[in-house]
Amino acid sequence: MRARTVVVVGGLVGVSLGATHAVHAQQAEPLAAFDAKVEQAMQDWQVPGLAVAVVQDDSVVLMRGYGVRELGRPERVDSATVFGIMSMTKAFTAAAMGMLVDDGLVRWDDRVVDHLPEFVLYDPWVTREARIRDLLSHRMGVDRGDFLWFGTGYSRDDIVRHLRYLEPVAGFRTAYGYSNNMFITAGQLIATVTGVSWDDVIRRRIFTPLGMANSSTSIWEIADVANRASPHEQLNGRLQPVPYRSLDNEAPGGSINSTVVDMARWIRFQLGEGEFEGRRYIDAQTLRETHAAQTPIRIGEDTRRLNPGIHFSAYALGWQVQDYRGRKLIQHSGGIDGQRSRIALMPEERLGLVVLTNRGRQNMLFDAIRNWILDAYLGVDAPDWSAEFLDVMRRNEERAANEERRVREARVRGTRPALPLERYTGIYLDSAYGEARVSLEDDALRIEVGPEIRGRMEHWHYDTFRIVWDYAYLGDMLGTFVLGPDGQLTGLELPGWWPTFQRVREPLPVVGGPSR
Amino acid sequence: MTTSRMAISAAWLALIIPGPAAAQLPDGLDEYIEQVRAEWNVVGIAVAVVKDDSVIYARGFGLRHLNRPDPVDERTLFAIGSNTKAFTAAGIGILVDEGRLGWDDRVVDHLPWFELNDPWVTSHITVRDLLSHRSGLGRRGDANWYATDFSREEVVRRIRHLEPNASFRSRAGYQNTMFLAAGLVTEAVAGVSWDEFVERRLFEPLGMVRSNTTTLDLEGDDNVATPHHTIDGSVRPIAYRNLDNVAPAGSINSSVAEMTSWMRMVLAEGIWDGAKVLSDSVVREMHTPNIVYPFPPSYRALFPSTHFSMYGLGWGLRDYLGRMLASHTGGIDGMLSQVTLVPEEEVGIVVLTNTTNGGAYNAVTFRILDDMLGGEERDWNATFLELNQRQEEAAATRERQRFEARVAGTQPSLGLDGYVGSYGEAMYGRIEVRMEEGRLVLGRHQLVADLEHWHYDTFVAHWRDPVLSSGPGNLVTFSLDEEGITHRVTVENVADFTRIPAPQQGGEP
Repeated sequence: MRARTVVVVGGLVGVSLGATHAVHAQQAEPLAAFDAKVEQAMQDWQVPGLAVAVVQDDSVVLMRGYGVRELGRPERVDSATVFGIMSMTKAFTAAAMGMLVDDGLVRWDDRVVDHLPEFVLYDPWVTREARIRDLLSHRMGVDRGDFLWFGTGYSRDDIVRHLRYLEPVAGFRTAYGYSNNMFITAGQLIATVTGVSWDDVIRRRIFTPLGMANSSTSIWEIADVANRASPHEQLNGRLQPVPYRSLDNEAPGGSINSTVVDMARWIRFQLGEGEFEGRRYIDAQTLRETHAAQTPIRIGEDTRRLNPGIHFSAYALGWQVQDYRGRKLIQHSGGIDGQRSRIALMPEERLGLVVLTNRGRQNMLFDAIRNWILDAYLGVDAPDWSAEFLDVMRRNEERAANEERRVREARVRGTRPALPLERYTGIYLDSAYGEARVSLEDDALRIEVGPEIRGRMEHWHYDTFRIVWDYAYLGDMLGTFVLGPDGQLTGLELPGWWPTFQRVREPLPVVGGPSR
Repeated sequence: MTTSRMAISAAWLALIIPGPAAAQLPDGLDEYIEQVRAEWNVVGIAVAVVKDDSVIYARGFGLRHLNRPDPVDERTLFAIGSNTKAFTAAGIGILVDEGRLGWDDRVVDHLPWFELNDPWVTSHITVRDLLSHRSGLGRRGDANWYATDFSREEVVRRIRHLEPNASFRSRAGYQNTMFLAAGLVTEAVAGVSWDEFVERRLFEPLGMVRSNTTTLDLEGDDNVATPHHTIDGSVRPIAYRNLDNVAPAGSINSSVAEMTSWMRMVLAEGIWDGAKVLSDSVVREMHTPNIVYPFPPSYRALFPSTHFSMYGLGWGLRDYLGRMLASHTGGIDGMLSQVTLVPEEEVGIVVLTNTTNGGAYNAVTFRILDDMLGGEERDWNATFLELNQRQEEAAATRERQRFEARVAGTQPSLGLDGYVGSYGEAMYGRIEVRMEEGRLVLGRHQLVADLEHWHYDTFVAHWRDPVLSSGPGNLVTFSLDEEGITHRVTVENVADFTRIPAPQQGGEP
């Protein structure tokens, strides 16, 4: 790009020609040393496998896999290996909504309740004012509430019905606040308006026309796919494969599985402003709307360091947008158990990239790779991005360790629970999240929140217990039993994750059911 | 009474450029500015540039008054219009620094009588909302303060009748009355008038000794620019528009020499002459986006390196050639100005002009920025002249189309006497229609228009105010009720006014 600027400034034919050749020469191998860099970085980051595709000028200029699909097995990742793309799904939901805008079925600023009467938020005024645009731009101001879908048996319908219990955490439209639940709601709105499931809309309107033959919207569809990456997490000091998490109930916010081959087609469709291989699938103006800033995002220190030349960041519709060395970058990351990914588009350079990896936590490698690719095509001498990201990650880990140490040091020694352990057992309820059950096993308390999230409770101090989750990568947390003035248990506080669960003193009556 | 003519310019959109880090003033800058001044038919321009906490340029061009010899220099006072908004935001910032106020405090917690049309919005709107054009009210309500006798508080109280034209905080809509309300919050918290607060806490520490917050304070200063406006094709001196009743949105008068102190302080993140005027966090907060701000298509083509346009607190924010610009324009009768900061380059540019021929400030600002930031040289003067010409042609076309839509050969339903009366509207109050020397006249506060028959029961308003007179003139349409009485008059782009019955006979109550 620097070379191209020279062309413009030079203005003389001779200079232009020379510079043009220089551009071609330079761009023929912008990723010359790329493989070696990536392979070294995979060692440094301990990422078992990843796949990359780079698109420029509507052509795939790089597409390959690195490493293995699963640690300890020989099968290599290639460009046809299936990964979860997680939150990169959100842009599909936004594009599908845009297609419905083109169809005249909805408008971006329609009230959500006009299409989805069961949509109810905590604040009735916000319920009435919320627009489709708000669903897709993370500005509703309500609690993130990921435990409505994560590890619950709730359906998408159930999740929408439980939104009303999510309390406001910021003024309506005052702040960027990531909400998977609003994308689930958008998916339900799409299903309601079209009369078919969100999954079908994505398949029929996007996967099929773009020829994304190995893309799907549920882990059950890839159960028999042999060329599939296994997710990995570091648990108890050892990197190991972990099961795929079903995201069926969160699907419009993150359930898509895909390959870099398919994602390269999606990138070409996006960079083509809705046109793909000569056919148009969405109005260019509509697609541009999904790339337009809606909700400003505050830029933190780490983001500034890892995103050179950033001055603005915002959420668009299913995309995050920012400036990067003077160009607009349209992008999204994705992450769930054992997987991390990145898609990034730079329309001014007709450049797009996708990085899919099969490691979850302690992994920022995908963004180091993003920066290497962007800088290579911008003609910038890139810093050692892997080292930069590693440094940031280590400092974050240090901060977390310090915080953990602080919590440990604040532990009061020599205290005992107020009640005998068996008195804590029983059912605790929350309107949004349902039941938390505490039981006694082998003289130790165990907790189970919803059907899936389980852990053991070790006494910490007073009525506070340290909860060590069976999903080890969830880490641990402190939970506190609350006693009322009469010495009776009233609730269980699980701060930061859930609201306070209320103690159920009597067995719940079974309404309309057989008497016990 | 067209809104576009009567208001402080919404066009905060200003601009800049980079390339090799030259940080030099353009060669021949004096000649360029003089050329711009002449080609835009601007009577006087003053320009100052700061870089790395030093004033590297401060000069005046042309005349303070068209018909007098006194030259504009760097000390000449101009109205800076909406560049006042950043002072109002900074004033609030001082109170934030002192812990007396939070950006996200609810307005009603400081102004209990504050009320908007929607009770939920009334109880939720924050000080930050007031300062970031996201109230949902849009660019309306300016007729409450422009050339009226309403007080500041009255102007704010009246806004409760204005229905939102966008869902709360859903998109930007330039709102002068909300900045006025922010000024009243300042008064409520600080216990002194907004004017006194700005004088003591900003002007005084910055040594802006001749800057002031009211046209009344221009009396007695011997170096003041006179506003000019193009009327019937020629540039003429006009009177200062007093803005006392909307002051926190646009009343400051200053010189480029004194504005350099303001710019240096903001660029130094609040430090001036070794002392802290604002905290660095307040300065950064003013330059942190709160809402996406529209970037007009005509600008999009001119500025391909601009990808983001947002509004902070009293400042417009955008990227330009890989840098962030914090800028604002100001415009009020006969005065146009622009302040542009490039914080990461420690560059600031102020351009003050005394003629409302739009664009000259852009031609000057961008030329300087190009050189300061090392961008390619572009002929900004020609570029903006061409843009201006296109905009003027579009306005002329609209005017011609309107004239062509006039139905010939119609007559008013009633004799002119039949239209006379008082008409009222909840927010804007009363207008009077009366006869003067056999002709219909419309009056409201300080404004009078002669009504010329257009067609049927519609008249066109020829405002006697020189600035309004240069606009297309609002169409004024009377409606007759079933008894043939004029019960309503619609003033185009303002509101519907309903007849106020004459008082009952029978003397004083």
